[in-house]
Amino acid sequence: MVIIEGHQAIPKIPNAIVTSGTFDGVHYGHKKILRKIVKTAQEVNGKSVVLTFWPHPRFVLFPEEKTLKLLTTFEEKAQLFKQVGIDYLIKVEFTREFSQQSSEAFIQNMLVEKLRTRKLIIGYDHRFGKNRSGSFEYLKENSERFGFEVEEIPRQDIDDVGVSSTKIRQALFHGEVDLAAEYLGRHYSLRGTVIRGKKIGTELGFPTANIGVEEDFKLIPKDGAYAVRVLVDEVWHKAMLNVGIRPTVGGLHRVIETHLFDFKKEIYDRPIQIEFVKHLRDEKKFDSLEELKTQLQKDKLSSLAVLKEY
Amino acid sequence: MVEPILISEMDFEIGEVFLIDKPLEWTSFDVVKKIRGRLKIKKVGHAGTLDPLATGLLIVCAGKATKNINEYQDLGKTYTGTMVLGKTTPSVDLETEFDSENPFDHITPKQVEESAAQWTGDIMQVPPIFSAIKVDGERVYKMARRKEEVKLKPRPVQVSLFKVDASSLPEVKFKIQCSKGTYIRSLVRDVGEALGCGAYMSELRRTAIGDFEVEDAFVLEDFISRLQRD
Repeated sequence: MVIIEGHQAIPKIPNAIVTSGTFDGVHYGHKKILRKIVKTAQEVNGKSVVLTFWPHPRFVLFPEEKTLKLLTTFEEKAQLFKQVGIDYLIKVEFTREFSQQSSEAFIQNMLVEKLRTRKLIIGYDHRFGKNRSGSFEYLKENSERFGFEVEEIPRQDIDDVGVSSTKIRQALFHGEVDLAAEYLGRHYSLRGTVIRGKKIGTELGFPTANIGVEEDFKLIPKDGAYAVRVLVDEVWHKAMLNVGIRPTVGGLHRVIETHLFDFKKEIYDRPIQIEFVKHLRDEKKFDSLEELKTQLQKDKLSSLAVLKEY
Repeated sequence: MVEPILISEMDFEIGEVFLIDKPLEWTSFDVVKKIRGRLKIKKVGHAGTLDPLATGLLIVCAGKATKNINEYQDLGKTYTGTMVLGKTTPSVDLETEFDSENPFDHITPKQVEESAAQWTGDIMQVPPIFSAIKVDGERVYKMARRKEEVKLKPRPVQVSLFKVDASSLPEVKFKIQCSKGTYIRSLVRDVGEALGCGAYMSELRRTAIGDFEVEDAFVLEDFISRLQRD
């Protein structure tokens, strides 16, 4: 899959079958649309093209709204698009200026001139351009003039899978990572680098790697303890993870730390990936470090039970 | 009046991708060095080497786009070129001297077509001994230059189109569409060997990488002369 952004060269894509959207999470519903464009492209000997906007339009239009968290970073989305078999990912920088562009102008510039779209396939709720005025009806009416076909994936075809990015976010906010995994078709995952911590875990016999997540918009599941899988240098490890302020040791800031069961090496500054498998318990304040340690031992056993099949 | 290309308007944070028509006798790295020098940034790279005696499309990435070089490298390629039957060179192109000469008068255009068809589809291909592949940590072309015996393993490649025009033998014009990692010189060598007379490649031009076409590429000199700071 070729990613094209900024002024980068756009090739003459033969029979471009295009879809457009933010696709946060790239969940089952999204995949229905994505698979459809891949299949249609194959049928007409063309190429599948995803047009996506970055940053997420809501960050640009409502910058004061700090509550929106995203399921996927751009890199994660790109990887998922590639797995579905998308040929081209066009990353359109979403700015205030861009949001003022009429749907007509956007369609002419991007879909007609640059992509030479043969067919546009969109979800039932998709809108183009300023104030989201470019509806399916508008596209359909003008389809002949634009020179490409338009197809809408009907509501029931997307909703019958009962999945939405909002539902997944809610599940994660409640710590229901197993439910989120069902919706996503994969475990919820995050990437970060290992940063230096206070080493209290080491004193307790549970050395942890603290994880720094670069993107502040990335959704971190509810505070608590989780059974997780951790990818270090292309090898998956079984592990447990805690998200929270660590009240027992007087913590103030939210920290993500993970204890790998079969791994002793120092991995500072290394990129790692976490997959959340199951929520074990909420975060709580223990009366003593001894009690915390006993709980951590229990957590380890529950994690190993959950992760048995991995 | 030629339109200047302003370096100040380039965005190396996002990264730039240039389509360049590589001139004859330049190495692909020469092109990168030249552009690197003009842009005055270190991160410049190309996606897929063209031999010095080949011309055509070279995709050059600058700035952050260099991290996507692999995606461009993975794309299929389209070439046009000419092979000549009856003579061979160790490198299969004209980088090296002729080392054998064989009669070709008995060969018919149909035989050439059949031989090309034989090397179409999913095939196992032995790379040319004059190639940048490493064996025991050494580039094989260095061993080949020392006239050491080089044994290379066949690799799976896909040739989706191998069209030949053999109407003016011993010259054969061809058009090839293939997966990444396919050596056109190997195809020429193998067709020549299958015909029993040998063949060398006198001309090669890469016309497309994926859907990126050489018609949309800058002629290198033109690109360089139009690059301006402000």
